[in-house]
Amino acid sequence: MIQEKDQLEIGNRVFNSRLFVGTGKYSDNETMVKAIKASETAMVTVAVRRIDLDRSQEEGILFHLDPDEFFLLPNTAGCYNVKDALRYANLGRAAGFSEWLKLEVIGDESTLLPDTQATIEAAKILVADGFKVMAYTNDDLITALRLEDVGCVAVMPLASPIGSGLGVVNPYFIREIKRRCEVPIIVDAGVGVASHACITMEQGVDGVLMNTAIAMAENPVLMASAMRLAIKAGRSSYLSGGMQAREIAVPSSPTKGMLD
Amino acid sequence: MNPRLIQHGLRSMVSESNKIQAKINGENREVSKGFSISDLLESLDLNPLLVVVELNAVIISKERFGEIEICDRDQIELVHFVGGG
Repeated sequence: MIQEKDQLEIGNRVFNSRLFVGTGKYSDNETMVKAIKASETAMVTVAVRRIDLDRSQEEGILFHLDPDEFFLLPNTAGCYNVKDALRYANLGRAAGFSEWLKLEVIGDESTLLPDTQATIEAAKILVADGFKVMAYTNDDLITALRLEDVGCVAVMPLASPIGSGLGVVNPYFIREIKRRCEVPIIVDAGVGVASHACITMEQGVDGVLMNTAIAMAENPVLMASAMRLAIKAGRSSYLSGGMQAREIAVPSSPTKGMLD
Repeated sequence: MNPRLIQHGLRSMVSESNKIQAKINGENREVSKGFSISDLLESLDLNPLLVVVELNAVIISKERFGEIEICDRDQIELVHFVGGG
């Protein structure tokens, strides 16, 4: 039975879903809204960008998503240094309705792996400035611990590179990060299909954030629904305390009572 | 000098004096002299509630949009939320 009251608390805010979704890459805004609703997510990420002055303001996400219905988490995507990350963070806070932020400082253009040193430095400054920082990072335990030390409300290690769809490539390190950190661990990036989401949750993490997996599916609304179920299945599977795997067959039916 | 050219020159001087140059979202644009940020947003058909304004790298609170006048060579960034992961 899926636990009905398995709520997630991050930074004194309670979430009723462990699935967080992005809003980028959708073919159209109507599909995006339908997919977000199908995911039953509790938090959606958004980016801060220049307004195209020659186009309609309908391209703005607030034209389609009601901030009273969806908790919006501005990100610092596309930032490659501390200065830019701080600038985008402040713009996001001014544009939005809270001090919550998804911090990412990218260190490499081809892999989009994080610059962990810059991420820690930016997180420290932003936390001191009153931000509630959820920090995207790699699957490195020491960085995760440092991000927790500087006051991040959640640490978000990647499953695999952003947009790759490879699933969780290093479950051991994800488990170790979860085991050692006290703040919630939200795996961010790399999930491709529902089984990946399920396996990720089975590592014991607190939630998963994804964008491309849903947005780039042929049927994003159906994939959003699959992800919702996978997250719940993975969470219940983890909580149920599954059996230990062994490389030997053990019969399920009694060996006694067989006929001569 | 041809009086028509002088007249034309005077007219363009008058018209130039009513305009200033500002860099808006990376583009050089003419803005009417005396325009406030509110006036600028209205002229661009932008809802001030959905826009964040950065003026010379300083974020301007929405309450001050009406009182801040745009000056020549100001650098203005108009940003909003878009889809992202």
